[in-house]
Amino acid sequence: MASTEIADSSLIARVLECGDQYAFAELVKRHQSALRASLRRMTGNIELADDVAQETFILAWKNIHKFRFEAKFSTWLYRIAFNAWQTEVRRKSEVLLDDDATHATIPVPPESDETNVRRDLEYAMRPLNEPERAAIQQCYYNDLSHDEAAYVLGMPLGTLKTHILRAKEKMRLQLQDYAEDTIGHAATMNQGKSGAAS
Amino acid sequence: MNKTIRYDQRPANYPQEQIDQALEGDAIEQMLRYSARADRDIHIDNAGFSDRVMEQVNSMPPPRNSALLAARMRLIIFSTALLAALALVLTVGQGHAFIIDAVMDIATRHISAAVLGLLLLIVSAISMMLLLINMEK
Repeated sequence: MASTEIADSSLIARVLECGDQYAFAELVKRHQSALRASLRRMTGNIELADDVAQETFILAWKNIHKFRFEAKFSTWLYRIAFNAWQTEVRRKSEVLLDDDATHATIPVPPESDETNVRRDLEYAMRPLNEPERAAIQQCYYNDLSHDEAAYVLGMPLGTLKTHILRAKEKMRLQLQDYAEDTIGHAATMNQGKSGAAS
Repeated sequence: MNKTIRYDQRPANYPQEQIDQALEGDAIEQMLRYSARADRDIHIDNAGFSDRVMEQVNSMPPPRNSALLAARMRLIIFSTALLAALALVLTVGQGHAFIIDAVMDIATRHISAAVLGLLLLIVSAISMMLLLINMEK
């Protein structure tokens, strides 16, 4: 991991020194998968995620002189991507709502333990507001530390931790209700069956 | 309606210790970790994505190196100040007489305006040289 980061920093240095496009292309190839995956989770559709990812790399090229080597390059990219996505949401909020059906949504994988957990989590995350959802996304799915996630989302560390705590409380409650509803529904079904049998 | 979300607003005043304790291991935590781990294993194929990005990058000017620009700016300011100081000293101090006066004053351990002027010139020249060396690096 460390060697990758060292290589990243020397590629960035080459871009800074002489505008080396090959070095930047290598950075794009190296980080495109993680960034696009993150944006797909954030946006919920493939085309839009790729558009924002493309915009992110263009912004990274234009602003690479502002990169201070204090954070990892990938963390810096996540921050640009998050801001680009927020700008996109603000700019096209109404259009996006109308246009949702025309975009390619992420395909549902076949049934497995993994997809069951994912489905339960998606249900659990429904009551979360946007900052809480973003905090969960950055800390767990992007595998960032709390410090890094706070940097990406542009919020104080304490605020981020509070959002995560609150999000997890909401998720726990939502899953409790879900379990109770399922058990209650099954009991009603069983009662109905036994009533019909007698 | 366009609702602006404030990401820097802390939603509630939880004590920090309670937050740290609650963030450690629980069922939701395990579900999230499990799902995220599986998610991170997914690799999205490049499929021309990098080429599309680089096509746009190639049509753009190279990024500015602000550190280099700042160093150049400092160099210009220092050299202008040095030239101005030199011109002033030579005009007011009657050319070479100023330097001779300063050397004589240093030899007799007497601090005069000529000594201070000469020191200023030397410091400015050294600063410029250091800046030039840094820019080369």
